[in-house]
Amino acid sequence: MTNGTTPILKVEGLKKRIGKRTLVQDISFQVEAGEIFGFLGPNGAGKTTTIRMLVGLIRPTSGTVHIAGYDIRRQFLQAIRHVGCIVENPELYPYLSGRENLELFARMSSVPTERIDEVVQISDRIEDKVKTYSLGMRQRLGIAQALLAQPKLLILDEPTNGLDPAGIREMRQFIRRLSREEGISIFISSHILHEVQLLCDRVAIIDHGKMIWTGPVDQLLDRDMRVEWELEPIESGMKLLRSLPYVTACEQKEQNRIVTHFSEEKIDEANRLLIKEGIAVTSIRRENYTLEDVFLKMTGGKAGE
Amino acid sequence: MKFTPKRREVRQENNRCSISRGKNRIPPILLYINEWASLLSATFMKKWFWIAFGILALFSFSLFGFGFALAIHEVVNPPSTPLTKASSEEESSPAPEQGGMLLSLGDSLTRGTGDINGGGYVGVLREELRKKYGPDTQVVNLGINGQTSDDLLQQVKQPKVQKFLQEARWITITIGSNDLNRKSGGIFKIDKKGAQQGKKQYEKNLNQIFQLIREQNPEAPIFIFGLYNPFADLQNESETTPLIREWNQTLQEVAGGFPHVIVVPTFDLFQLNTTAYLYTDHFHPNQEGYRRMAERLLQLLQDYEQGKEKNR
Amino acid sequence: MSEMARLVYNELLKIVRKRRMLVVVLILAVLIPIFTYAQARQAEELMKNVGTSDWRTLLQQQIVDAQNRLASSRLPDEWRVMLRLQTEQLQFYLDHDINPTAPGAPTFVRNFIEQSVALFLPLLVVIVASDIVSSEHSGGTIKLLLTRPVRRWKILLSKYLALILTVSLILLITGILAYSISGLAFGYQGATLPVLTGFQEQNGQLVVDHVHLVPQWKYILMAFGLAWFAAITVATLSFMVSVLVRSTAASMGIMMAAIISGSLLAQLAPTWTALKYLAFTNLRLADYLSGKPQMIEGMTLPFSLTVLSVWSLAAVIIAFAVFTRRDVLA
Repeated sequence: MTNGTTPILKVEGLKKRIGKRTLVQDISFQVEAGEIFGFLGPNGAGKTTTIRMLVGLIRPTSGTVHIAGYDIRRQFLQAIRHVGCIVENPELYPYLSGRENLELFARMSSVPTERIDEVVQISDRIEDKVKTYSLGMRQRLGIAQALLAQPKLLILDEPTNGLDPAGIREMRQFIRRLSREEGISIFISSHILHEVQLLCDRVAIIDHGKMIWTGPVDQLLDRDMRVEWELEPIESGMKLLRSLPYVTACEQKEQNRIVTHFSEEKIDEANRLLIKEGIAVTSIRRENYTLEDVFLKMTGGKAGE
Repeated sequence: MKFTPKRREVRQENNRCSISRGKNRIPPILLYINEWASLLSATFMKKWFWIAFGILALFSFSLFGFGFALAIHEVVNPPSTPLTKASSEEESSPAPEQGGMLLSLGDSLTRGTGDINGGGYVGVLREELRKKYGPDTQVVNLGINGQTSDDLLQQVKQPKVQKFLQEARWITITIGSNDLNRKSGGIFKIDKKGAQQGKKQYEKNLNQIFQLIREQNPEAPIFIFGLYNPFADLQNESETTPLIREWNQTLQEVAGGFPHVIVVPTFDLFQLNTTAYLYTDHFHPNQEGYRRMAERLLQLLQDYEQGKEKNR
Repeated sequence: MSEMARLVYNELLKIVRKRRMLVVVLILAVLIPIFTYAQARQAEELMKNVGTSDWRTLLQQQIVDAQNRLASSRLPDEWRVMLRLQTEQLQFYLDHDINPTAPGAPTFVRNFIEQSVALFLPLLVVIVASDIVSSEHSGGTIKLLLTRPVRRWKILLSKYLALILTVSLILLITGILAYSISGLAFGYQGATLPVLTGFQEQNGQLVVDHVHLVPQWKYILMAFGLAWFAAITVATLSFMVSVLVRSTAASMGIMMAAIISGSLLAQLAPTWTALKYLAFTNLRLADYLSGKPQMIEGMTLPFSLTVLSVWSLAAVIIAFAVFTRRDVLA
């Protein structure tokens, strides 16, 4: 129905205010057909509020949401028909079995019950009551529920929350396969940068209710690494590291720790420079970026430059 | 997507379960109920259950909707044809009782006011009569608090009461103290003239009451309690006591004019030991007072019955 | 239409599988035998005191008992009027030689529904009705429910229809259980027994111009019809509270407090005539059939039905207005 040029999800100037408190504002982004879109922000940044507005649970104070070209407020039925979603936890009816839950939602979306067997490959637990399920099983049942009506857009809120490492890996593979094989656009919210980096094509970053950045995931961070130093004396070490041209961010943490961003190959060089200046290096640690580092980068972190 | 559960996970859950069970000691009855409920919920999944459920729900909806409409019609537009007396006279004579029936008429004394058990002298009579004449002895207490002889006269005229009168084997009455109390203007300011008028009215009423009772039932003995002076221990006893005596005199005279009417005196009972037999309201007898009254009546009743036997 | 049928089916499924109905049936199955026993015992006690099983004697005794209560000076005037009306009614039964308490399952059912319409039935209804919307909020399932291609008002309507069907069914079950259980004790006879209805009250006087006889089964049907209306009003109000309050416990508590205080208030302060505009003082609809006078002056069946309808209508409007507009926050 939609041609390639219409974005599957288009959000413009979304804002929600309750009383005097503004929960989110100035949220604008687009999700193109077939892509996996990451919605990144720390807990309490307004991710869930935004998602609730996307699926019509909350009416925005201002701004619009279009799903497959339909306004979620004015053409709710046409718009929501293209969406499958899990908002926050996958809360299903605990006193019904997995299959009964799916049947119930199938009846609401006018989906034939045969579709249930397609989204859930037969399993021995599907007839059990949902209250006996583990969180991982509930998460999977939640996704099955979201896929029932063959949506074009899947909205998942923190899909790996509460899963064990194996479960997280499995979920990632599953999401990739959905995108690749079924051509479903997927909107994922997360507070874990690593996860978004691994999965998403593009990303929007939200903090304190405001969008601070949006773009392809590979532009999010360059090939720099997060390097943590423990130095003595800290002041002169800090000064030295800041003066180096290839260090993109530098910030003091706690008493004797400094976090810097720069290319992996330059660690050796920086280390030698420090020693030459007579600064004792007690530890060097190389780590993956976290969301915190993104914010560090966005705000510069290089004071005085 | 797969739904295969991890075995380790399941075993862990089981372990947790058994531990908590051990700690909380779930009573076996609860486990049993749970099992039973699961069985029931298996029933809920059946298709026929849902078909029956839906049909029944719709049926009850329309049934009660109909009943509702009917009720509105009935209350808002009731048929205005006056009800003719139900055609049930054919079986209106109640089965005669072997033990016979005690019919008690009168005021609060018959009602038993002042007896913490609530039975009054009628309560004592009921027990004693049942001992003597069998447990199926009926007792009908038509005493009404505050009843005067005027009221009793009206009551005796009621068709239903007349029916009782016909059936009664024994009749007991307490009447007059309310007349006396009201007409004489209370204990502290005795209105001699009013009391005199009241006595006349009392006499007239008594005559009519006995007359009416005898019309309905010429045989049953009527035991009527005499009046007593609840204020015999108060200062103006010298004024109240003669009044009571006068009224009792009247009562005796009227009773003498009818067959099988026996006056049960109570005056002396309360005169000698007033507080011992009076309730805290200083007007009605207490439990003990009622017992004494009943004992006197039973004594007279026994004499009467024996006399009747002899005369036969 | 078929979409609505599917939605109602979903809601019925939830009500049944939540075992709410089971709770209601269990309560009935436990309490009805107790009520049966209580009534059998009461009748036996009365018989023992009077020493006869002749209902006429018992009725006369009841009349005199009531007259005695009337004579008490401590009785408030409103009670006095009511008692007098009751006595006159009993006298009427006696004069027409009709036994209002002929033992048997139908008589028990009739008494049971007359007695339970103001308190017991509403509480049963509240058990089912109070969590019909609030449980979706507390369980978080509201998010799944409202992100389907179905309009919000349709979802709420399906819940309301399911509730009304369930309430109807509860009433039917109440009737069936009361009949079958009490019949074990009293026997099943008496469905065609004549019962008086059409008593009217005017200025504290009993008007018997329109009094007539109906067979007991018809009377029971009418009494259940009225009880059904009362139960639906309770369900509707409960439904609104369930929409407004997110916690099931709170919504159940609010409704129970309202029902109990409604039935208490009318007895505590019958002179406070403004009370008659409350919904819960108007639940005793079956009393209009039996002619039992209402506590508060100026209450008639059309009046009560109007009051209940206005409350229901307001509740439905509020429920739909709130549910279709409200943001679903965490």
